[in-house]
Amino acid sequence: MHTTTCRTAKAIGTILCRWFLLLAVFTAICETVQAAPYRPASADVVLETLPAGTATLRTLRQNQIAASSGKSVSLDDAMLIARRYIELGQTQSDPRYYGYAEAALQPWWNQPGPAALRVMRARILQFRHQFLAALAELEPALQTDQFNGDAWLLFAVIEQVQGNVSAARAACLKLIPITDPLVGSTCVASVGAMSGKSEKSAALLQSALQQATAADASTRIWAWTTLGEIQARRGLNNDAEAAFKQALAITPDDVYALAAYADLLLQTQRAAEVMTLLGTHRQADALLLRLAIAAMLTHDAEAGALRDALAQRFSEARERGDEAHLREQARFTLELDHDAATALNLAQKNWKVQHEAADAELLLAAALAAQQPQAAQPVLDWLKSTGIEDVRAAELVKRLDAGVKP
Amino acid sequence: MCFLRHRFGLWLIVASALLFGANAQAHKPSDSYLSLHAEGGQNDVQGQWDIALRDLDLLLTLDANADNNITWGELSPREKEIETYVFAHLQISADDIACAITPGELLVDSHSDGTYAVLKFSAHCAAPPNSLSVHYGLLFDLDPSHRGLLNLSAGAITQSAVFAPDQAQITFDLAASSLWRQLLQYIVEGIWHIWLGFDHILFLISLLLPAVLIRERGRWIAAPRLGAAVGHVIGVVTAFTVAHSLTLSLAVLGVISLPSRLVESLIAFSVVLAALNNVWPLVTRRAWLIAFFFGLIHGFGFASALNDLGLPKQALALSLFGFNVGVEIGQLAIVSVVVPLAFLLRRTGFYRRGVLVAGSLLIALVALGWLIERAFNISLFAQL
Repeated sequence: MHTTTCRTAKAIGTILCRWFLLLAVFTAICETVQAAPYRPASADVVLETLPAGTATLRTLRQNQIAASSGKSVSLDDAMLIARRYIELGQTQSDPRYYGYAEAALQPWWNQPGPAALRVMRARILQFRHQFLAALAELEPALQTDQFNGDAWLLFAVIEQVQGNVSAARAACLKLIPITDPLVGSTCVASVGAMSGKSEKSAALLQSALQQATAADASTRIWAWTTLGEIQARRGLNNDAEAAFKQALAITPDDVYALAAYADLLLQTQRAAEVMTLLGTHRQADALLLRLAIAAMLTHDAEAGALRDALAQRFSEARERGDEAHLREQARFTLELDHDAATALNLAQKNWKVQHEAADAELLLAAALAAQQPQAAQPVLDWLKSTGIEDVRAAELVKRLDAGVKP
Repeated sequence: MCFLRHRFGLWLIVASALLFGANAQAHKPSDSYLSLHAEGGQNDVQGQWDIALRDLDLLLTLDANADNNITWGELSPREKEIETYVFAHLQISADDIACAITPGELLVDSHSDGTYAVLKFSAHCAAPPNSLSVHYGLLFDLDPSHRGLLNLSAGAITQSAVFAPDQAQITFDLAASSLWRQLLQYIVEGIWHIWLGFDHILFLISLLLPAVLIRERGRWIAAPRLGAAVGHVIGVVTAFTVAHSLTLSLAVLGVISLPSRLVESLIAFSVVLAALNNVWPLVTRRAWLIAFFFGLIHGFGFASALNDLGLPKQALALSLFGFNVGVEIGQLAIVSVVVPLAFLLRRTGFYRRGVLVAGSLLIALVALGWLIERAFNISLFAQL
């Protein structure tokens, strides 16, 4: 009797011990402290750091309002302010500034206006991925001002994002006589590579880059990154890497070049290097996405936290009804959440808006993971009609075919 | 040519068109978060409004010394001014009669894109509102892309809405009729979740298969009466239910959170163990213990499914309850199909070898595949 009691007591003790251990583990993992509103401890606590240039812009705006002395601000003054805001929005990657720019242009927002005003509105609309509305601004602008390089470039880029290769090429050709040769060449090459002329396009870019040592930094980064992407799609990974490194040598924290380089590393099973490349660049969502994928692949301790941070950004965007991030969201759902069905749905939605090689690859990968080869049909048709060279897409197509015929 | 270089960074034009990350860094568009809470039978509506300090600075120039930093010392003396400004841009009315807003204490809180001022307030209405109208006009003149994200809870019902320049006024019907609809929706979600989540079904089936048999001296013999089998089943199902309800609630309430990969891997592992236990029995009499222990893990899995549905914060209890009820209904439906069939077949060699042993092996194999997939983040089945 006595021994039985002892044994029972011991068993209960062991069970309790295990429970405490489990609880301890839970407490350790459970670091997500629910944030609650608080009262800062002292007056010196810095609560928020405003972006650089806030004070200057404020002064500019106030001066303008003062100068107009009660009358409404003139269109020229409003465009000056809007231009500054758009500039800030672009360099600081901050969507608020596009809103301020729109507000500055509010009295003229729904009026036809001069070409420069239309181009500005197009830029704001394009930023929000309202591509058709942006094109509708650019078309009349280009009719009145055929030598507007900004407008042609924006036009070419939007047509290209939408996969309209011939319209994009026509716009690029318009750019050649009116801009820096490297701008025209990069535009033409980038479109050419989407229509089965990868090798020629790469050669064009290489020679243009050799001759254009004087071109400004942003053009050269664009050209090198475009070259890198073309080479990567051709499967020339070493050439692609060299090109991305050239781009990053000009500006080491260029978001687009970093993202393209990280994609190359991820595709060539070099996730550990992505951790180093992007370790300090997590503010940009596109980079955070690649960092989170790399962390997952390398079993990094931070993987879960990175995934959660991204999920929160997507959920905030969804709450406000923002659908501009479909590509990233689809990739997140596919590669980090492994939810093939939802990812396919998102990739299909994204395909309705955007038709670039990356969008095509994404839809192929999602269709493959969800085992729904028929969902990839629009992409297969597009690949065939454009004749784009893309080893990664070709590999996915091969695997889809293999899946169809067991 | 120079227009391209100087006015706009050319590369930025291209990059921002191609990649949202080049646009939306840690910065996101301007949002404010407005939550309102109306309790049945009460005149007052309680509110909290989180507005980004950056936005308040745009409106009222909080950064007094223009050093690009906003300190608590710069914010707190402006409390009255801030309240006067923002509450002039928010009107709440109950059944078409305006409610008077009384501001409470000014606090701050962090959101994913920076620090926000938190303004608590109460809106005093003439009578308990049947319909509540909210008119929102903050910031739209300075930033048309600003949005006001409203979360309204009335009793157990939560509704959300987004205020935009073209949707500045929204009216809500607070009548309780939608309560039942919402509960029903979560019950259905719960049922679907257990039916679509094969891992939960296979775990349950693995535990139920031996319920119609009794293990004696290393051999299975048929349970003589249905009563014995039912007792075993009740034990297993109850333990599983109690355990997963516990962790589901704790996880949804935010008391405990586990990484989803760990949870999903452990769920797969639990299926492997439960199935292998039928082939090489270690635990035969206290299957409910397995059900309880791993039920704790499955609860976390349910929680992440429920969280993915987008939980209304104020109707948490209702949705939690509904989802749990749904899971139990789905589970009972499976039990009521599996157990009678198993009981009828229990004396046959087909059941003992074909179903119990071979079936369990198959389950273990599939679950092992999941385990590998989930633990190592690779996809086995998609490539088959």
